[in-house]
Amino acid sequence: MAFAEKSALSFGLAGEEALSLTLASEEVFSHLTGPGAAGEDVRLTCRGGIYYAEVEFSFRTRFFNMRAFNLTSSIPCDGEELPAEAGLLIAARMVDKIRARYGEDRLEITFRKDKVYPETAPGDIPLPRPLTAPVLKTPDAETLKLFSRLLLRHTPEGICPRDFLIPGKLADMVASGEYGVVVAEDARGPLGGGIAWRREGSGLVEFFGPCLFGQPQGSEAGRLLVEACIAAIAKSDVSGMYSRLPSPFLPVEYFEILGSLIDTTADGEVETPVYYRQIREDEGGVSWVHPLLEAFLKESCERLAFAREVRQTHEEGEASYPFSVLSATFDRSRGRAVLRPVWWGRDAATNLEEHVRSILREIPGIALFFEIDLGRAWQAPFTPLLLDAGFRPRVMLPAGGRGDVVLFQYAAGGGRP
Amino acid sequence: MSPLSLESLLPPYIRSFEPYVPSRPDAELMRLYGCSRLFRLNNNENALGPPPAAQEVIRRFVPPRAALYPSGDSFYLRRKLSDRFSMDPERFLVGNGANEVIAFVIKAFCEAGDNIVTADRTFAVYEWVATFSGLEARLVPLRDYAFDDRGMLERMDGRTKIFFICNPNNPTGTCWGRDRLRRFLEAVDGRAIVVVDEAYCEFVEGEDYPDGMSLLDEYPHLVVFRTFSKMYGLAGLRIGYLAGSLPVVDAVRRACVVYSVNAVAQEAAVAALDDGNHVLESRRLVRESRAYLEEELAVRGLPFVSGEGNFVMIRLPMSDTLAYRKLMTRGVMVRTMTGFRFPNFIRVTLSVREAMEAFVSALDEILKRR
Repeated sequence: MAFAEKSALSFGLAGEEALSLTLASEEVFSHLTGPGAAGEDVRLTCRGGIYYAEVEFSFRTRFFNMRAFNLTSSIPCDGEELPAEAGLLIAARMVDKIRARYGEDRLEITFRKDKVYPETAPGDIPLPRPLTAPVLKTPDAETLKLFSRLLLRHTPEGICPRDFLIPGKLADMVASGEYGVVVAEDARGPLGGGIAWRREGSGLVEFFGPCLFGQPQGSEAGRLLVEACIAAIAKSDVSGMYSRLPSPFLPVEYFEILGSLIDTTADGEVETPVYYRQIREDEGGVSWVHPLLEAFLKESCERLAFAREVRQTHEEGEASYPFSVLSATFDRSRGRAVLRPVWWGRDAATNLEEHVRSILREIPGIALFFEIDLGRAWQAPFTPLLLDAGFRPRVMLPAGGRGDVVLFQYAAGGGRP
Repeated sequence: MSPLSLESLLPPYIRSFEPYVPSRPDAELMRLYGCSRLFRLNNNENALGPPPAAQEVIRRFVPPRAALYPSGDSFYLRRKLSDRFSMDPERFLVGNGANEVIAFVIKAFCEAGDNIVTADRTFAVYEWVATFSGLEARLVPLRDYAFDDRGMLERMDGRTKIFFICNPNNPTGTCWGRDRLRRFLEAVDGRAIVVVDEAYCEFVEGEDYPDGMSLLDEYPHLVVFRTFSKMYGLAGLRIGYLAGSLPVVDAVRRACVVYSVNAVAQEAAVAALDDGNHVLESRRLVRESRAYLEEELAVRGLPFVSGEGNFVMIRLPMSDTLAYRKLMTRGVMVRTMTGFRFPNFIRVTLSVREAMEAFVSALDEILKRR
C-alpha cells in the first residue's frame, strides 16, 4: 500500500489523513484479494482533487456486500477472528466519503479523504460599502479567501455550506472545479458579494447565494450574480438549479418554489422554501412510483406543470438481496442530514429504522431527509417503509437524479397518513 | 472481447461537449402536456407554409422517384440561384439546411489551434460546430442587443479563421446597416472569412439593410448564408445554401458532402424562388402580427425586443422555462431563452392571428396565476 500512501502525500494530504486513506486502502485491498476474495481483476487508481485525495478500487464481482458501509454497521466480535466485513467497516470509518458505481461488469468503489485546513477567526473585516457600478468577475484564490472571511463575519449561519467558511478550503474547492463562484465588485474595489454553485452527480446544480455584504435589499448585484450563475450553466447539460438554503437577496422572479422543508430553530419550526429554476426546456419523462407516492407526485406535477408519465411499481415477490445499504450526508451547520438508498435489500425496514435512531441519538433535533430517485425503479419499495418510519414527501426535485427525486422529511410520529 | 474504451477513443473536445436535445415530436408533447392542439411559436417557421408553387411540386412528387439519387450538387437549384443573383452557379453551394453549410465552412478553413469569433447570444450552431470540431469559439457579448463589431475585431488574432455574423440576429432581431458591414469587411481585410448569415433576410423591411449578395464581388472573403427554412417554409425538407467568391466556394466544396440534399427539397426550392407574392404575403402577416403583439405587450407592461425577422423576444416577470411548461399545458409552444443566455426571456414566432391570440390569452392566464 506504499502506492496509496505516497499518492495521498503527493496529492497534499497531511500525514494523519494520508495514513487514514492508506489504512482504508489496505483493509479494502485485503478484503478483495485475501482469503475468500470478494473481487477479481482488482485495479487501483489514486487521484488528487486538490482539496482531497481518493483511491478507487475497480473489480469484477457477482455480488459485493456493502452492508459494512452503512453508518449503523457494527462488528459482532465474540471470538478471536474478526468477520470478513470488518475490514470494510474500518475502511468506511477512516475516510470522509465513499461512492460506489456499477459498470457493465465491474464495481467501482472510491474512498475519499479530505485535506484538513486551519480554521482561523475572520478578524475585524469592515462591512463593504454599497457598490456603485457592480462588475462581475471570476475570483482568484485571494479573493475567494476574502469572500470566505466576509461570509463568516457578515452573514447569518446556514446560508452556505460550512466548508465555505474555511478560506483555504473554499479556494481549493473552486480550484478543483467542484464549485463555481462569481463575485461582484466595483471599480473602487470593495467585494460586495458572490454566488457559488456545485454540480451534483445528476443533472442538477445546487447554488448558494447570492450572498451580499453591506448591500441594500433588492440590490442590482444580486440580480447580476444570479444571471451570471445561470449564464455559466446555460449551455451545459444541466437540467436545472436549486437552492435549499435560500438567501434573503435572492431575486425570486427567476425561480419557482418546489415546496418547502421544515427547519427547527431557536424560535421553533420554520418552513424554508426550495427555489428552483429549470435550465432546459422540459422534455417530459417517466417516473416509477410506489402507489403510496402517486398522489404526491401527481399533485406536484400538476402544480408545477411538469409532464410526467407515471408508472406504478411495487414488490411482487421477486428475488432480492438480503442486505440494503444507505448513504448518509450531514450538513451540521444547517442541522440537516440526508439519507439516500445505495442498495435495496430485504432488511431495508430495519436498516432504515436503525439509521434514523442512530442519527437522532447522535444529533438530536436534526432535520432528517431521505431521497428517492423516481428514475430508478428499484428505489420505489422504500416508499412504504419511509411512510411507516415517519417520513413525509415534501419536495419533488425535477430531474434531480436519473429521474425526478422526491425528498422525504422525517416527522416524528410515524404511521401512514 | 475487450470492453469498449470510449474514454480513450473520444477526443477531449467531444467528451466534454454536451449534445443538443431537440424537442420531442408534437404528438408526444401534446400527449405529455394533455393539450388537444399545439400552436408552434418556437422555431420561427412561416405560418403560411411553403409558397403555393413549392407545395404543388411536393404534391406532384412521384413516389417511385424516391429510389433515385438526387442531383449530387443541386444542379438546377444552383442554376436558378445563378439567374436570380446574376452570379456564376459555381459560386453557390447547397446543403442539408444552413446548419450543414456552417459545418462545411468550418471544416474547410479551420484546423487544430484555430478559432472562430461570433457573439455570445446568437444562433448557437456556429459555436457548437466549432466546439465539437476541437476549435475555440470566441464569444463576444452583444452591445445594445446587436453584434459588437469593435469587440469582435479585438478578439481577432493570427489564428482567427472565420467571423460569424447573424444579420438580422436571432433572437434579438438587430441588424448591421450597410456602412457598418462594409467597415467591418474592410477592417478584416482578407485575413479571415466573414460569414454573414442572412437566414431571416427576406423578412427585413428596414431600408439600410445590406444585401450580402450584392457585396460578394467587392469582398472575396465574404460568405453569405441563406435558407429555405424560414421565409420559404421548407424547414421540414432541410435545404439552405451559401454564396461566395469562386476561390472561396471552391475551397469549401472540398469539405462538403454531396448528395446530402434530397430531390423534393431541391425542386421545391426552385419553385419557391419564383413566387414573389409569397414573400409579400409573409411580410404582411409578420408586420400585422408584430403590431398586434407589441400593442398587447405594451398594454401589459411587458418589455420586449422587437427588430427584424419573424419573431419577438419578450422579458417575463417569471422563469422562462416555467412559462414554457405552463404555456405548453395551454397548447402554445415558445422558445425559452435561458440557453441563449437571456434568462427570463422567451422568443415568440410571429404567426397567424389565431395563434397570436392564443398565445396572449395563455400568457395572461399564467401571469395571473403566479
